[in-house]
Order: sequence, then structure tokens, then C-alpha cells
Amino acid sequence: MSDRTSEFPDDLLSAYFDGEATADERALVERRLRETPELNQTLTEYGELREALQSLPPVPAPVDLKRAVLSQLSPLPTPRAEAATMTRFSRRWLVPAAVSTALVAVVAVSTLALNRNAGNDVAATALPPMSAEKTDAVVVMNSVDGPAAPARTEVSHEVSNTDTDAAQPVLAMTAPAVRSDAPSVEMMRQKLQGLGKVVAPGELIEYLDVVNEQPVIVSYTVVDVMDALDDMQVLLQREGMRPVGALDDEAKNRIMSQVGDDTIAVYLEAPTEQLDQFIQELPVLFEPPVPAEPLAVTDQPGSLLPRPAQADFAPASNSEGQALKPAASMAKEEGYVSDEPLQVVAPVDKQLRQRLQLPPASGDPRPRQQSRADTPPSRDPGRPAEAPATRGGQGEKNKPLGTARRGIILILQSGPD
Amino acid sequence: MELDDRTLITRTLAGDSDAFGQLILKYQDRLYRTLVHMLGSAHDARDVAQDAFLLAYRKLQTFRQESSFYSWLFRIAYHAAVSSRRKHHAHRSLDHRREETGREPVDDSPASDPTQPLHRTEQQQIVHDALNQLAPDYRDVLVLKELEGLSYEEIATLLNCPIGTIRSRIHRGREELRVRLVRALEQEGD
Repeated sequence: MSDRTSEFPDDLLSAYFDGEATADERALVERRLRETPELNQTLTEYGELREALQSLPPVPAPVDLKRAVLSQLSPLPTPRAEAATMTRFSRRWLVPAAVSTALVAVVAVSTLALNRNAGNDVAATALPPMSAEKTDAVVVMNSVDGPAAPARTEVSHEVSNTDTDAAQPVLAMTAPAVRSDAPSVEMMRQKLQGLGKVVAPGELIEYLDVVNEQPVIVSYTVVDVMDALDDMQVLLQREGMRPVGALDDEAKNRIMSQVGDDTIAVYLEAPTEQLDQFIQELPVLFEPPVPAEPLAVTDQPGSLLPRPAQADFAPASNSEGQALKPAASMAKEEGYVSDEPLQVVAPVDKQLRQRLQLPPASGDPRPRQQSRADTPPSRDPGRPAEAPATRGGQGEKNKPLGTARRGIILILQSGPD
Repeated sequence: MELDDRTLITRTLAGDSDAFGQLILKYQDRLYRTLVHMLGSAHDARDVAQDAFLLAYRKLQTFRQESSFYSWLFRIAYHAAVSSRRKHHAHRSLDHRREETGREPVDDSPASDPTQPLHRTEQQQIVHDALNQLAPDYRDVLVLKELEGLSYEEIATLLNCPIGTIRSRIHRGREELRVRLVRALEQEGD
């Protein structure tokens, strides 16, 4: 077997066999091969292994694979057609979206980078037209494990559950910030149906996407928005998570015309830690599941091995260890943030507001960027901040979700019927 | 006459879905074979291959053709396979799959090929089983190296790992596979 002395690393012979050793290493191996006959035997066995693997018989693809793929193809949008679908409303959101993308690009360095060779261009893209359907479900937040490079950004997903049982919870899902285009409502519906079960609040749903030619895995966190409605707004306001750009009358009217009078949009962006904290403190998200193998780094950068989820919640920093500015702050410097406070889109429960010791809804317009290193805000003086309430009174603290969340939030929510 | 990838991509983007069908036919066997060995499941490999082709089609207009189409497709498929494996958490056994579906699983093992001589198929079956028993980290790099023929650098890029990690994993994977094969062949000889 291979020599295990420090001068002759275990993996050297294997690398030599593959032609991947350096010139010095090759010289070392060849000297050892002359001195140690059993190494020649190992080399021979490596060759036999290769032959055995390569002689595995071909495994033909299923005969209906092509038909199955082609049957699901829809016409590709041409760039011209895409541009035509870019509404004035879409353009309005595009610029702040690109600002947030720059943040995402740097933050992603500390998370799983699926490909280090991703490009650096931020391409403008058409944002999907908003659905004309009544939006019963809400897109809340995003999580993307993706390449360490900026990507085109989408603003929102809408998920209509018009086909679902009325008794089922209304679902809100995280919206990816690093996306090149938004899947259609139908596509998201199919993804949910494809799960073969009713998703539960706190559950992570993942799917693969390609951004700037690089595969990214997008994670959603499911939220029962009807349960979360008030808490969500209160938490957003308390965390200083604010709309990027005021919703002027034109934008409001456009939204209203598309999704109905009972739906109001709030456009937000926030850094990872804020979004993480938001998720953790959302009372309706009890015991969110931790992926068995979070896509994260442990022993080696980019390794697919699990790492402590805590690392996912480190303050955002760039590759040089400098703390990142919160997205909202960046956007403000770029002139994309108005000084208007978060628009509370539905009456907030007064008792809840008092319990959280919140200022009035039209309070301090300055965004409060809270670091995770700060004392975590307690939702209730009588309740430990690290153990937010859980449904069912189990009292167990919310577990970290295991993947970083960052980017833009667009909330589209329907008012109570 | 077989058209090159660039032409097929151009035609696909122009709305010719048959051109994309030709791309599927061209690469489906190679992709599927690698996925079967990575995932150890014909069922999962089919799903992942299908998802990869669909996603490649949907994103085709963003493909700048700076790499080969297959390289790009394979990158998509690899990450789809990783995602699929995470969802399943563990490799599903054939029995488990039978219980789930109520059907006999597709037999993708070498021993199922009636054209193969018996002794050869037995040996291939042993190799097939030993490969599937490796930890995914080791199995992936071995499949990428020995079946896909990728260099360490290409594997490192695909997995976003340092080359040193790839080198170590390939070595360990080989050693583990070698031990398993020796053990299996000894048992067969008993």
C-alpha cells in the first residue's frame, strides 16, 4: 500500500496515476517505485480499478426521456419579447434589485458557491409581469445558495393557491433574490403539488435554477401568511426593514389593478442576518426543519459537508472580512430608498404592538440595522429572546434554518376576506 | 447529417424544439449513465436528467457557449443530483423503492444485460455494488474522474472544492473501492 511517511503523502501515488502530480512529485514517486516494489502493485491495482469502472456496461437512458422532456417544453421567450414584457412597473423595481444583487454577490462568498468561475456582470432582465390572479398566498423571503457572483435579480414570486383546498393554510414562500427570471405561478404551483404533500410552515423547499450559466439552489421557507400577517409587519417595522422606494400612486394603482383592492405590496430588502432574525422570530414558524446536509462549508471552502448552522448567521462580510453594509443602507446611499416609513398594510394588533413595545406605526423612519451581535430583541420580556414562541406551546427555540437568507423581499398579501 | 451543438442551440432558440430533441438524444445516454452511478438509482437518475434537460432548455438563451453544451448541461445535472440526494437523505434501497412504488424497480445493474457473459456480468455487478456503497463524496469524484474523464481541476471547479480535497477524495475513494472489491471477490471465491 502507499507509503504513509510525511515525505510521501497518501494521495500522491493516486495523483501520479492520474497524471496530476507535479514534476517534483513525479520524480519522488518514480524514485519510490524503484525502491518499493509493492507500490508498483498498487499502481497496477489502480489501473485495474479504472478498467473495471470504465468497463461497466452502458446504461441507456429511458426510451421515453426525450419525449418526456419535449412534452414539457414551452416556447422560449425571445429577448425582444422579454423586453416587451418589461413593464414600467418592472423597470421601476429593476434598479433597486440590481443594487441588492451586488450585496448578494458578496455575501454569497461565505456560503456555498456552486461554481467559483461565475461571471461578474449584472445583467438587466425583464421582470415577470405580475399575475392578474388574486393572490391568496404571499412571497415573503428568500434564500439562495448560489455562485459567488452576482446574478440577475427577480423581485417576486406570486403563488396562487386557487386550486388548493380552502381548508389548507395559505402559504407564503421565500422569494429568491438571485434569480434570472421568476417562474410562473403555474410552475410554482406544480412544484408545490409535486411535493406530494401539504407543506408545513417552516419547511424548506428547494429547487435548482441557473443564473448566469451557473447552477444555484434556491430555498424557500414556507410561511402561513394568514397566521403571520400581523407579526410579520410588526417585526419588519421593528427591524427597520423598509420599502426600497416609496410606492407611488402609479405603482399602487398598477398593483391594485392586478391583484385586487385587498392586496398591497411592500418592497423590501435586507441583509442576511436581518432576514434570518426575522424568520427566527416569526412566531408561526415553529421548529423549522434543519436540512440534514445543509449546503454549507465545513472543513473546506465550498465543501458539501454539513457545518454548524450558526456559521450561516455570521454577520455578512465580504471576502476581505469587511462588514457589509445592509442592503437598505446601500440602496439609500444610491438614492433608491425613500425616507418614508414602512407602510403598515393592515391594522396591527394593538396588544401585540404594546407587548413588543413598539413605537407607533409611523415611527422613526430611520432604518435600524441590528447586528446579530447585539442583544437579540425579546418579543416578550417574560420570554427569552433566544426562545421565541412556538406553536403548540412546545417552547423549544426555533432552530436555525441552515442556509443563509438574503436579498429582496416583496410582499404581496391579500387582506382577510 | 448530425448537426453541431451550436447549430442545434441556435435552432432551438429560434423555436425549433426538434433541435433540442436532437441535443437530448445526443447526450442523454452519457448523462444518464453518470447519474445512475452517482445516485445509485435509475429512478432518481431519470428524474434528475429530465430536470436538467428542462432547465437547460429554459435557460438556453443565457448560455453563452463559452464551454461545451454538455459541460454546461452536466453542471446543471450534477447540482440537481446533489439536490436530489439531499432531499432523499439516504440512498434508497431497491426494496424500499419497491415498497414505495409497488413496482419492480428498473434493473440498471450490469447483470441484467443478457448479452454479457455470466462471469463478466458477475464481476460488473460486484463493481457496481461496491461503487454504490461508497460515501457520496468518494463516489462522485470517482465517477467524475473515471467515467466522465474530468481532470482534478475540472472536478474541483464543479464541486467548488480545492484541488487538494479532490485529490484526497479520489485517493480515499480508490482505496475504499479497492478494499471492498477485494473483499467481495474473496467472498465470491469462498
